Amino acid sequence: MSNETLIFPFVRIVGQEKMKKALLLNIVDPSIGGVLIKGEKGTAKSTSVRSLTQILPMRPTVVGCPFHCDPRYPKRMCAQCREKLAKGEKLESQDMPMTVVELPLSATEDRVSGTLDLEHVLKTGEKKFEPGVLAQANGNVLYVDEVNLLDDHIIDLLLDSAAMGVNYIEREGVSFSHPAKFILVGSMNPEEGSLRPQLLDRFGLCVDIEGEKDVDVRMEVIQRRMEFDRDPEAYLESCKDEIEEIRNKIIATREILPNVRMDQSIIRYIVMISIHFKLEGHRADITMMRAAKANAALDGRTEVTKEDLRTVAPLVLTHRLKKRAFDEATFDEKELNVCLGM
Amino acid sequence: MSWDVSQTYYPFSAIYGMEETKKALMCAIANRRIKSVLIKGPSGTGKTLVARSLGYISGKSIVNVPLNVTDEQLFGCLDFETAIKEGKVILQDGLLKRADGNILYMDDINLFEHRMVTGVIDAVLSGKVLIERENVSESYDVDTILVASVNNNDSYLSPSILDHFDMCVNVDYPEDADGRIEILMRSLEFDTDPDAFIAKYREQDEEVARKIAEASEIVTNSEPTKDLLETIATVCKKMAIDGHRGDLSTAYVALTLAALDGRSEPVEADVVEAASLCINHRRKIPKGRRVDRQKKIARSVVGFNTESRAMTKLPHDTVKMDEASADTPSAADIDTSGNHVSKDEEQERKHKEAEDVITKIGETFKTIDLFEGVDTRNRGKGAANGKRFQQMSADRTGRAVGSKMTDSKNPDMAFDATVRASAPFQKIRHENTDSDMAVIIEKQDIREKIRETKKSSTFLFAVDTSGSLIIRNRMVAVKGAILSLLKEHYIKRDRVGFMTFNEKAINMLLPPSREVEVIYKLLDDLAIGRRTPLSAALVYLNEYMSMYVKKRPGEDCYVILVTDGEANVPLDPTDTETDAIQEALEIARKINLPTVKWIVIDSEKRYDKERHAKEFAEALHGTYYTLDDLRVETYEEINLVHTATVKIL
Repeated sequence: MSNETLIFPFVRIVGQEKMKKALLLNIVDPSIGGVLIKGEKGTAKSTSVRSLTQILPMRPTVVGCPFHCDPRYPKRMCAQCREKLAKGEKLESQDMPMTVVELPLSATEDRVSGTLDLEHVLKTGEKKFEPGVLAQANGNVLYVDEVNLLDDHIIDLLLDSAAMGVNYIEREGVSFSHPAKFILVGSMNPEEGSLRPQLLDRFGLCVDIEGEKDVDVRMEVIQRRMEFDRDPEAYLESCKDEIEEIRNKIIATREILPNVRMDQSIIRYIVMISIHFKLEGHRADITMMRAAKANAALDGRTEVTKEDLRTVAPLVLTHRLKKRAFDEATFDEKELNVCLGM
Repeated sequence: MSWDVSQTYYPFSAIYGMEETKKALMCAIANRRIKSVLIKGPSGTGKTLVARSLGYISGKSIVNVPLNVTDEQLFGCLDFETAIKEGKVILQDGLLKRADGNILYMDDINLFEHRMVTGVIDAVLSGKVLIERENVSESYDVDTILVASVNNNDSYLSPSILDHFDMCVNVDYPEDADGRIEILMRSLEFDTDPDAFIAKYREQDEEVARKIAEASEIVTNSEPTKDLLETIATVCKKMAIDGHRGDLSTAYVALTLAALDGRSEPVEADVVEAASLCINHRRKIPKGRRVDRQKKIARSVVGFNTESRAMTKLPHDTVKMDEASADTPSAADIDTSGNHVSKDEEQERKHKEAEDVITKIGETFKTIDLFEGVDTRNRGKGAANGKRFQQMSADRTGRAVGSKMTDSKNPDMAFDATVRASAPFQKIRHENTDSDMAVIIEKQDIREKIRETKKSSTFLFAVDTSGSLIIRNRMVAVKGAILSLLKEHYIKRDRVGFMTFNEKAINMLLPPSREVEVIYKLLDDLAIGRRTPLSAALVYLNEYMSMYVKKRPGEDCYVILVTDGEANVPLDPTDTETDAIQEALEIARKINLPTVKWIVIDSEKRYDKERHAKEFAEALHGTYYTLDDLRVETYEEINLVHTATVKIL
């Protein structure tokens, strides 16, 4: 059974443009640092993330490598692959689709980071590292539904690896490290509690989503879903071209991205925005810069404009606004426009 | 199996600003006697960045301590491969062994277990690791520098841990636009072509490395002079530093700072800088107070001594002042660049400082740990302040922190520990038994995991919203107290509930939940009544909490009753005979909820009046605070409150 065929197609999700944008920006440039999706139940959070599988492009991976190293970037490879390279061996490459790896809420620490291979030890008396979810996630999207309900120590672990791009294991008799560069996507229902502010800052982008209010739009949502449920395969087949189109767009955007230029005046605007919104630290600035570049590239341009900032700034700012005690901080588009002189 | 992933790090010299941090790290690399540096700062300010860049200027590698490290990996444990194959007991090196001659980096040190942090610090400072576990009894030397970072938003480190850090720096990130723009520009450049960027700064990094090497040469041949030690001792004494670690660190750092400047004798400025690096975090400063002043004290003391002793003065300024005048406005004040600050500016700043303090009191109270005192009985010695929510977990959730022997039939098995326990006996067992397994495990080998979870607690605020509170304008203060408590507990992921009572209604506005933010809105918008039906409120609380504790066994519950104790509505409102206060006290005495702890906050302001709230606290076997108790401004006061709490217990 292939899961891919059973997920409602990404391209047919009605509305939720901000969420789609945030996801696409991250796929184009994983260094943006992931997305946190906040919203009530039934707002297509999980569907959107899971359906990313359909539009994610292929990528070259080393055959047999448990961490799916990319043969194009020797610096980001795991030690085994680099060792082979150093010995002059040629790494066999194979195109594999990027996928969405899900982390269940019940995951234990040893399964997340990897642990000692039990069977191997008992049989041979030798140590062997058994890769965990983070190994699987390398080069892919890691999706955590209900991220706010995950145990604190697991979240710390995830964010640590996401930030460093490396998973260090020093436990249970294993000392190991392997690349773990992934796009972290978390979703949560704010009714069930929130995340520590420090953790919020680690997510590159954040979107607050709501259910559609408009009657016609709601009708449209239901109709599409009913049509899909009647015959999922036929429905997916019917939007095959659209899926192909968006996948090609991602590939094209990635090619443009290194050529995107950013004028100093744009950088000044970014700084003005963070100063205006009283953001601490530089993570927001850097994320905004990367997201603006990715946004320009998605649009097929090689020059970042103020308009790009206007699109990405809300995604970068919403979860970083300084809350005084339990002050309600809402993001105000007008203030942003003032910063941008629009 | 120790393969590392090579990474491209940001060059040391390309890091904009952070001068103090860089200086501190350079000192630590240059002087072998400086062992530990703590970097404090908000998230996203480059703490980790600067630590990782150290490789460029030290030629050492940075050994990262992952957050989920276990004891045996950190310090070393039995190597079971050898034990199984050869029946020999030898040590498998721990992470600390790899840190020997290198730099040990602990990110977010406040998230590590207290025991582990103490162990690492001990090993680093003593230069020795002792292992006594699993048939292994060994020790090895470790010469390393510990660099740790801590996010000052949600962290607490105990004073004893702080004291073990030679230096502590606050990351100073630029507030001005130009600085931030420059940082972004560099970051953009690094993103675009990391290799070229690193090459661009290589020369500068090498220059720094050279400087460190030269300084290192100088410091190995110089010892702190008696004069220097005396000056430092005076500074430490003035700043009321306990213990002598601060003195020593300051002396070494002052020497090293001078050496980095190519001199073998520290001058006044070196001592001042060293003091600000080494002493601030050792002071008992109340939370939230600015630390700028310390530099001033250090300078004044040094200045005083400079007069009479032969220490070299800096050319650009001479400080003359009396010892006693250190804190008075008449003391000449010099800012970091060495310019004299004009009197007016000085006055203005003082004025502003005073204003700050006043508004702060009005807004939110400094959080004191109300619950800490109540609690020390149950949570044992290990539960240091900030870690009080950690406990050993009985079910199989939480972080595995160690292993123990077990006789459970279905243990939460610690596989690695089990194999290690069985390893030395494999040779004999194989001789006696026939098995295709490489490892034969017997019952006595089985080890079980020790897990630790963060314990959650429930806090239910019950607030008297009768007129007496409002008239005296105490509500603002009550709100402040509640908010600051909430701010603390929101981070810790506890459940918080909120109810109010007045003669109109007893309102459970927010049943205990994690959605703490709602309370802020509730507080702004409280329905106010005139009279106080305390009896009814207590009956309600008793019923509610007895149900609640059934649903959540094992959870610590606190009811925080905010009232002036002036009950004036009896259970039966039509009854005019009964004394409402006596009735309520009677009810309070009858309440018997073993897992619920009561805290009574007296909202009465006048001191001459009878303190009924206090009687309630006694009747409920709870702790008693006045609103003023909660307004903690000095460390001494915190201690007072603590002692008071202990007494009540």
